[in-house]
Amino acid sequence: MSLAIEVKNLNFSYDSEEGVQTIKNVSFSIEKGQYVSLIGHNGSGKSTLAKLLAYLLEPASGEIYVDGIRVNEKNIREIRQTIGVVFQNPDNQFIGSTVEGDIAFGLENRAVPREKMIELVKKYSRLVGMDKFLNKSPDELSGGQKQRVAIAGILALGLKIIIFDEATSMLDPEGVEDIKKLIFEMKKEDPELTFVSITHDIEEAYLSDKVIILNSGEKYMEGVPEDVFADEDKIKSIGLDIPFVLQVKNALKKKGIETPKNIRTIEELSNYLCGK
Amino acid sequence: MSNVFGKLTPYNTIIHRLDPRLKFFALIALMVMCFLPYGNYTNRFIVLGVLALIIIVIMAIAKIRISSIFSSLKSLWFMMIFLLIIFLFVQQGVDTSSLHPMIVFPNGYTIYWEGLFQTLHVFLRLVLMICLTLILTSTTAPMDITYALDWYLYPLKLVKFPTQIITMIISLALRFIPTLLDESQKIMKAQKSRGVDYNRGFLAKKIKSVTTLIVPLLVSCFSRSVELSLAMDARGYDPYGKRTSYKVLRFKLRDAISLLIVLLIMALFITACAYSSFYPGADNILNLLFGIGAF
Repeated sequence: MSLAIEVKNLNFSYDSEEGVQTIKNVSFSIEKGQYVSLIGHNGSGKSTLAKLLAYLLEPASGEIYVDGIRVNEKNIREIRQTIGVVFQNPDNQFIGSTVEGDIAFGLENRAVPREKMIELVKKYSRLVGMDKFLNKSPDELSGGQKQRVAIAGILALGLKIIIFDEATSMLDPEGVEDIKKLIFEMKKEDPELTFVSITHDIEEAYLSDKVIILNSGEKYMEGVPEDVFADEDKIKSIGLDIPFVLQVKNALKKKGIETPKNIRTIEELSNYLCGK
Repeated sequence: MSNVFGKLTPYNTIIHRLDPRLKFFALIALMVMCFLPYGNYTNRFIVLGVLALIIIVIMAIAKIRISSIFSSLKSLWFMMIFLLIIFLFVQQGVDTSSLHPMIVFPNGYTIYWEGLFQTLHVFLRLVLMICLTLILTSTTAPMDITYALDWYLYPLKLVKFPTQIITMIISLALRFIPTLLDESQKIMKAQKSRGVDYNRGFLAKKIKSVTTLIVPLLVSCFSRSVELSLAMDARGYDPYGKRTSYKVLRFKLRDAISLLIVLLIMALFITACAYSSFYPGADNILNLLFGIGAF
């Protein structure tokens, strides 16, 4: 499979004179169709990395390729047609004055014909559960509802790569599940859809295809969740925790009960144990 | 404070459904009608009274509560008292023989009725303008107003002026008014909990305490604008690029009829203006209609 995102020796700092480097020599690659979790502490450079990928910031050095396109000033239009970011604060990314206007904003920028736009706005507002609020203005919505709108606004664009920068932080657990389900449905429809989730949720990271851990601007670990979280000491040494399911599995192991590697959720684990 | 600009009311009256371009035109037209010269004070008050009546009817149709005006007027009291003092004590014009004295002081200094009328006149005009703006903003979504503005700016497009950027700036400004008001409330609460008193003290102290609100508000404004521009970039906004429009304005029959009504009202007021300015002899409308003399 070809690569969706390829990052080579990426460096970046917000203020070049102070010498604090936000991103230090980071390299990684993400295959098409993968669900990748990017985890790390506050200030580890996760959000900066997301902005660099979408060329919202310019790298100091290093190369980024998105769907085979070099990320630079020249290719900015193609990049924006390929990759989209949903940010954390829903207030500051609500551009339209109503829900429908905001979902349509990105489509307007792409000069999508009006009939198509109406269709897409209807479809995606329904998918995120905001179809009853189409005429509402942002100050009538809750933070979670605004986040749903922001998510719909990016999903409606039909991009190949979507980055969620803690985009579900304001949703209740049920809402987070809804959005996750929606993503998986969309991935089923389009197996090439690549999804990068910047998150603090270790459980979510455990369910993804790949985990990248950043620590103070450097890539700390990278790999499939089983391998990454297997090294418990290394994870805990930077203050992160390992997923609950894995903790249970490790505890069971100590008691001499082996569980299969592919079990990742509580339900699966309890089913396995009860079935046994 | 949030009512100064008015907030879109959640009704769907005929006024709400009218084309924003028409509403915008009507707003400007009626505002101009407020400011035409109608001669003496009797005429002015009659004309403004008629205008007020029209505005009240529109407000009733649009289901705007009269009480919503009062909160907008709160901030005007100070200005009104100031104007009253100025108009009462500063004599109007050199020729005072045509004025009507209210109080004559022993030293010959006179306060004229006209001073009071002038203040009332200015006040009435302001109230009417606020009402008109309130009607527009409470029946029209901010985005619709900017669509209307965009339409009116069309001639500038012919000379390659980037009108779409102007309208985007305005629509974003309108979009963020409630957000920033909300933010300022939050900051005020946070500062109050740290011991800042916004309500008591003299002017100097009040100004000082307001800086504790302004500075954090400005800082948050800037960080918001940075994030907003990133979000716009991420969704592919190109100010000079070709865009399509989700919302399309349609001029319907009801808009045509309303336009006719607005034009009729305009004609009425312009006639009144022309009559009071140019008709020889009869200098007030009451005189013309009922033969009553007045100020």
